[in-house]
Amino acid sequence: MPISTKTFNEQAIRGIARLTEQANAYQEQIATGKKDLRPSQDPVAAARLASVKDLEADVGRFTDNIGAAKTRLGLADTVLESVQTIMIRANELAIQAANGTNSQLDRQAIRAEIDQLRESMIGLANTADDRGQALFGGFVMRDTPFVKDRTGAVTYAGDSGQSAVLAADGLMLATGISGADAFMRVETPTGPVSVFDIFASLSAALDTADEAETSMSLSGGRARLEVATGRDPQLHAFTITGPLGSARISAELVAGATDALVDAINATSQATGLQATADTNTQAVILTAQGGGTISFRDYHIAGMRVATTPITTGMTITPLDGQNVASGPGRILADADHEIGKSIGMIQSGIEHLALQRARIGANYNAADIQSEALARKALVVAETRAGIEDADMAEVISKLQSLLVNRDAAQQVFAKLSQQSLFDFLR
Amino acid sequence: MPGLFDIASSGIQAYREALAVTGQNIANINTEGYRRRGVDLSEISASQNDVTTIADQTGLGVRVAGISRAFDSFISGRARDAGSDFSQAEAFKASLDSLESALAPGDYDIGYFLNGFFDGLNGVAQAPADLAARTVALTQGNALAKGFVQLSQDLDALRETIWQQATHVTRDLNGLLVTLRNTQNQLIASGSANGASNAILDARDQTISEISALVGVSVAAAQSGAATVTLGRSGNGPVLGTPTVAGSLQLRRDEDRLVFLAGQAPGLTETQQVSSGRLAGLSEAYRSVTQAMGALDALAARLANEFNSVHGKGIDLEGKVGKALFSADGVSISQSATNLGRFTASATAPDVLAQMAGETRFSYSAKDAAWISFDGDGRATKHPPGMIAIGAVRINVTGTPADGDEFTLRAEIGAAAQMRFLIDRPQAFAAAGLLTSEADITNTGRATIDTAAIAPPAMTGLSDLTQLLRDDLSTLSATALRQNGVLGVIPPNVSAVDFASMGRQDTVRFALTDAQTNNVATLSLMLKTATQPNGALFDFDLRPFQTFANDQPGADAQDLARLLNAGTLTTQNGTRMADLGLFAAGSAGNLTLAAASSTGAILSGSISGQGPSINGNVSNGLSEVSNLQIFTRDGRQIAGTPLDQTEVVGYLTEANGFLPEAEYRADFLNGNGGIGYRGLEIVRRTTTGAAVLSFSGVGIAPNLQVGAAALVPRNPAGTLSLAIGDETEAIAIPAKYSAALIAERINATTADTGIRADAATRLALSDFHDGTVQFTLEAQNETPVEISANITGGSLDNLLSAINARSQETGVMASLGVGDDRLVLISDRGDDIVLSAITSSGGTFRATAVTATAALAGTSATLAGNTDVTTLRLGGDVTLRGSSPFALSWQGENTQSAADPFADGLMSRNLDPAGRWQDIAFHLTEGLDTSEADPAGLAATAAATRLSLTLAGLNGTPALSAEITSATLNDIRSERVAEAMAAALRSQGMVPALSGLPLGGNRPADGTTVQILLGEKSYGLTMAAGDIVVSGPEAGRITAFFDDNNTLRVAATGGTLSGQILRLSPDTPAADAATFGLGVAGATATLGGRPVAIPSSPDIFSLTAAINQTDTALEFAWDGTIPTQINHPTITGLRLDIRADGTGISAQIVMTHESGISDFRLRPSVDAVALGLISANADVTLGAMGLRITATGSTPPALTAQATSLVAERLSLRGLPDEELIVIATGSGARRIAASFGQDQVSTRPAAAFAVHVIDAPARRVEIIDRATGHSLATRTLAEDGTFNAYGMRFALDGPLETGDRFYVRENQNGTGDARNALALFALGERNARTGLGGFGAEFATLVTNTGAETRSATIAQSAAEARRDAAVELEAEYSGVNLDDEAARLLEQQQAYQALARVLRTAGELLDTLLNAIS
Repeated sequence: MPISTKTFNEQAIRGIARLTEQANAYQEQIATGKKDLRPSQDPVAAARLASVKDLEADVGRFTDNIGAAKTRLGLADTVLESVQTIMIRANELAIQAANGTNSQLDRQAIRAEIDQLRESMIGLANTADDRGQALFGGFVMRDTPFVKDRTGAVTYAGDSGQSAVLAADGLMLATGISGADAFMRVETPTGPVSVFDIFASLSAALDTADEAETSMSLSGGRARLEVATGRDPQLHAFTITGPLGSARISAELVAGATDALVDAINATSQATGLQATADTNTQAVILTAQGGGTISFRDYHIAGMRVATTPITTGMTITPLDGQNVASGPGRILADADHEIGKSIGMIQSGIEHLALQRARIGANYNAADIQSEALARKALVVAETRAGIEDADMAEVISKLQSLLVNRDAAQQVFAKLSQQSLFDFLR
Repeated sequence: MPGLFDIASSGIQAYREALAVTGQNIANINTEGYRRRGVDLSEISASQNDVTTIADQTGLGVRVAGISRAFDSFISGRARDAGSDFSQAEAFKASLDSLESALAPGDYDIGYFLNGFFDGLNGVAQAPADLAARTVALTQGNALAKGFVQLSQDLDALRETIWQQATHVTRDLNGLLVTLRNTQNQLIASGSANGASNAILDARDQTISEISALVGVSVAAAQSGAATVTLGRSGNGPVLGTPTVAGSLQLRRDEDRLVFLAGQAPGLTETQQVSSGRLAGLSEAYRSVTQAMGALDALAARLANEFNSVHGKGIDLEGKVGKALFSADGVSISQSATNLGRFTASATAPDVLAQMAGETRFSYSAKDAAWISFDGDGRATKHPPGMIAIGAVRINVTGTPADGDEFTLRAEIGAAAQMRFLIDRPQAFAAAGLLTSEADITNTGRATIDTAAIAPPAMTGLSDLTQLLRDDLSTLSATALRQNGVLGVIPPNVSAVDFASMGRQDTVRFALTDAQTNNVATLSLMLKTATQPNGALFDFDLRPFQTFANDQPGADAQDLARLLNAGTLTTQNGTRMADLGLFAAGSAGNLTLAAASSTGAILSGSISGQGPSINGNVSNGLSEVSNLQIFTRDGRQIAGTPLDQTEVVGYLTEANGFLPEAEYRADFLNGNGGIGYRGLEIVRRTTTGAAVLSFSGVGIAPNLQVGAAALVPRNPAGTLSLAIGDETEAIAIPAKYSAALIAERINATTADTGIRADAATRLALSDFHDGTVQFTLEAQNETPVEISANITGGSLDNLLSAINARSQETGVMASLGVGDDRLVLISDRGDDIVLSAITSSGGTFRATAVTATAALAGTSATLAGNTDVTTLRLGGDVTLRGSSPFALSWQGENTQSAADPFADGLMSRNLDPAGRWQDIAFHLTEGLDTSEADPAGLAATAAATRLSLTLAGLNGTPALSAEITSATLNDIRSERVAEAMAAALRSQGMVPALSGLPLGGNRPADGTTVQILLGEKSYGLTMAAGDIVVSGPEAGRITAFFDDNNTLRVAATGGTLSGQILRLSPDTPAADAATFGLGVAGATATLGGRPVAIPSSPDIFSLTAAINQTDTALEFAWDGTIPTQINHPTITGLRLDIRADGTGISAQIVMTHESGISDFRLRPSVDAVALGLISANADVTLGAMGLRITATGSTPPALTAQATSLVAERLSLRGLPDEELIVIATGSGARRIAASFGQDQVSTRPAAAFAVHVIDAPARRVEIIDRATGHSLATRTLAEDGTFNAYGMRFALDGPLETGDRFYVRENQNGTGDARNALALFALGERNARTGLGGFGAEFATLVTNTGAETRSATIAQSAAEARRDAAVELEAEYSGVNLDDEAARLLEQQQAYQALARVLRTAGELLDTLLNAIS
């Protein structure tokens, strides 16, 4: 039985509309160049696309992070290089100053330059990066990490935080070194010292070279030692040489009490031939050599002192005495061995080595950043290709599909036109 | 017989009609619901056959039997169902398309915003101190929150659209149902089934078909042509339509779905039969959208929670802990649709609504002019109009509501629509980690430290003391514990605790029946007394109680106890219970008596009356008291007495709750050094007080030396040994150490003894002469400072300020001592005080070492007298203080510590450094020091605390002491105790009085005032209403009145210790004084003595008095007989009056106006005491908190104290840290403990600041130090990997260690460049498989993909339904539709028949014509 004309017409019209709809979809793909990746169209591709997009975002972030890290590392290296240059200059100056032919005036001139160099070093240590963040503050980035206190000593207001950026999932890339590592802990034979203290020590040693000595030798066989020390117990140690030989003396002293020193010297009398007595009135120690002779002192070390200071607050005043215990010459100050310029030279050289080491650390981080950024560039390429593979429309395919669709639609339209024209009524004339 | 004509004519008619039907078919070719009609022709046959006639067989022609409709119920049923399915799929798919495009609107979905936010976080992590990066992140955070809100709103709008559609569809449906009923009615009306009009049937079918597009139905056709339409496919659903009934469908929304109600209004019932049709599609779509919204809300809530939790673990740029970052909580207000008034309500809520009830309904009551709220449980609360507060939510209602208007407040917790980004300043991003750790810059080792918070160790599982002990600090609530050892733990949430450890009193308990109670006659008690250790019998006469019980029905033993305690019932000679230190408690059936003296005071007791006497049950007391010891789990003792080594080994075990690493330390025991463990406030009081001992560097005596030149410190080297219990601690002290350094050495080595050493150097300089005093001063300073000052008129003010001006350098503070004639110099660090180059132009002065009370100690030295003494050096004293007794051996001298009741005792003392005064405060506690009665009469405590003060006598006079007992005090606050103590002390001294000139009839006018001085305190006498009103610092201290002669009488009736007369204040104008009769001839001042025995044969009494501030010797001679009056030989008007009675005398010093004495102070002396004229070198006054003892002479008063109490040990701890503390009882005491607890809900997290000290590098031992207090908190040995756990943190030390290295861990305050928390936030971008946190983008993508998949399957379902519908429609069209070709053919056919019939008619005509022609 034939279907009704109405239904026939309706079905034909619906069929053509469907074809047009499909053609529109193809047309859109051609216009945008992308596939229709709505989840309802292709859930698998849509999900893959979402994860590829995430990956792409990650790669972008990591690349950006590495860029920032490289900027900071580069800057830090430049700063440390400048500091190194300053240290090298200071080394030259110190060697020059150590020459015994210098007058106090010459030393003061050198000292002025050393002080100037120290100032510029503080400035360098407080360098900020392109975003105004301190380079060497650890986690303290908004203030200047190196602060000069009232006494001129440089204290570190930063911390030992290690700033880092994410360079890949789970891979942290250091973006610098903390100020504590960079400047505050130069390893020296007597313990860690900051580069600023090294300079201050050199400066103090230059300043006090005229009034204090780090080793002393006096003839006449008698001497008075007056110790300047604080209220809190402090360990003083020095090597003393008498007619019989040398001994290392070590005594814990407090202001006004020299008993420990007397006991320590007398304990080594056998070895040195030196006898100590305390002056009951003045708290001074009278040193007597058996049968006269030379008494000499060296390697004076006061616990807690790592660098030279000016003015000298702790030390020993040594006065030669005659037979009646009356001063036979001017008293001279025996200062901590840190006051020796040679000691400062040693510390500066340690500092230069320390900076080289820190630069190497930065360099290693920079290299790591380089390697990582190359890896990321490759990854970015792969990700972009993957994304294109998922979402880009295959033009040839889409166009040919559209072509055949259009042909189909035209045919359908023509057939319908033809068919609907013809009915038996055409024959009723 | 029919004719051909008839046949043809019937044929023509029939075919004309058939043609018309065909025409109708063609005409209706496009009519919806039209079914092809067919003409049923039938032959007209003869029907008149009968038995006799055979009808003509030709027939009579044709007729139209009926016009049939091409209808098949099966086919059209299928078409209808397929149509229903299709509508459903179409509606569903269309909505899902919208849902998908809402969730994934191209590139800008939630995933996009999330990515943006994580970009921002990455930027912050990259440059944490950079505000620009933070601002970007802030913007992106806001965008993300807005994205959520936007999407949520889109989805809500979509759901609303679906709801609207469904409502419209339902309305249409209900309209169609009415149409259906009407159509069916017509059907019935138009007659039988066959007779029904095809057009109406078409209309009916069409209506049903339209209905089925909206909702799937079943149709059951009845014979009559009427159909019954039911909802759903089953045919059993609710009836929607019959010829008489129009059913109805209604719609309601529930939480997450649409609910359909079907039937005939109003009896609608919920139905599940809506399973196809457009409505079903919409319903499904509604549920899908709701699900998507739920998933989005869950995502938003999770995102907010996880971000907030991570953010809260960080520190922002300003050093504050991160606040919440997102909030997905909020409130919404919906007004009722039936409101009549015009008002608006808006609500503000806090960022996070953790615990808010779901819904609160508000209804306006015009009567109350208030809004009434009803919470979930229907509880009503009234709120005044305006601002309404519900929890933390504030609702602002404006406008004028009408009575009964309603609105609903709904808490939306975890809703995407409420999503907000809470940070509004870039600084507020908490990018930095909570803790920072670093190595000390001066470390010699190279180890680095890393710290992370971990879970704290598991709880001890020991019994919780808050459960074990009653939360009541009272002797009656004390719990007697079964054994010594660990009692339990103070749980972490307790922030304050009070403990009391006490002995047990003797008690005697009687069980009495009511009858016995009402007939008691005698209470006999055998008590042990001081004079009768074997017992003395006390019979209390209880018969008055019988009378009382008769008058007061219902009187019971409680009243008996009350009357006994009140002293109403006494023994025959009037002894009261209180006099014996007894206290009674009673109730119906029980009477208990307790004795304050805790050692066997009650030997036996019985009550007699009616019947046999009742023997009491005596329970013996115990005076020994257990010691309470409180520890941290790391073995640090917080409170108690130090443990010895055996006890340490015995107690510090894991079984007792200690950590395996626990190590005993007592260096902050009982708040040693002023501050308890981690800053807690601790007060431990014992009746005996702490053990105290003082010594100096050269021995026990003070260490003063003078000389001509530089003086060196004298202290020799030596070993100091401290013995506590069985243990001895040896401490080496190098030579010439100052007291400060000695104290430091002791403190460094007494960590496990709980002994604290403090050093101080105190020097008194006195006996100055006017002139210039100069010296250099050296103490803390290393360079001596020069001091120079002029002394004029004996005033030391210049010297005082000259010394104090240099205090910053020297550490020496000077203060003006007693009598203003001396300076006391104190170095509270204990540095040696060195004075050198001493000169004084006016003459010598003296120096003496003084004690803490400024009493002179040791010999004094004269300075500046000659060139031999130009230098002075005083070494300080070291004072040791511990909670248990100890002994010291130093420089060959052995000393025992002495208990000082002022040190951690029931009294405390505050000393003026210069000895001018001492303030005493009393620390008694309600419940511990007061009498207590158990309401059940089964237990009682008699107040047993006794406090006594003794003031040492001067110049050989006996000491004065006073004792008070807590039983006599109604109020035990310190100031009240001080009043009682002051009264007890003063009553031993003389009574100063003033009497005026008799005034005759003229009293002073109202308002006239004189000021009278008692010591330094001024009292005003003011006339008011003709009488005197006394005002002054202490009420009742002064009495004043006019006697019968109108003579003014003023007296300090309570007595005074100062020996000073009452005197007129110099501030009072003489004229005013004169109106009172004072300051004029006839006025006298007296000092009344106490009665004493007659002095044995004395002759001369030598007294000393400061007369007008000058010490003057006074002699009164007496020649054997007792005189009544002795006039002073030289001072006119000064006399001694003596009144004698048989046994003794009372003396009184009298001075008249003529004597010229305006001030008189009798100094203590043996002779004065002999006359009963008793005074001390101190005055007693009341201060703000207690008693003040003021020095009145040049010697500071020497005060000692003693206390006894049932409660021997009291501990009060405030600000306890958030950790378990272990409580142990030691000793052989009564183990009776009472406690009260304060629970602190708001946990105030102590700022974490720890230091890690390497104490032994080779052994890898470290100590954790609290940096705020410097307390050692724990000791640990590093694990193989350098880690250790303590205080809820894991510490990791990496690298070589050196002893003495220090590491610091603190809260990050200034870590502006720290990005650790920003990285932790960033890590939420990816889902962490271990914790399940993060991965919001992926979760959202899953949501979108799920929706996509659903959409996709809906599309496929729609296509399938469409195909099925097309097929069904095709089938129906084949059957019922109009096909033009068919119709054309039919038309031709019918036309031909018609033409043929016309021909037949014509033939018939021709036949007739032929016939007619034949006829004609």
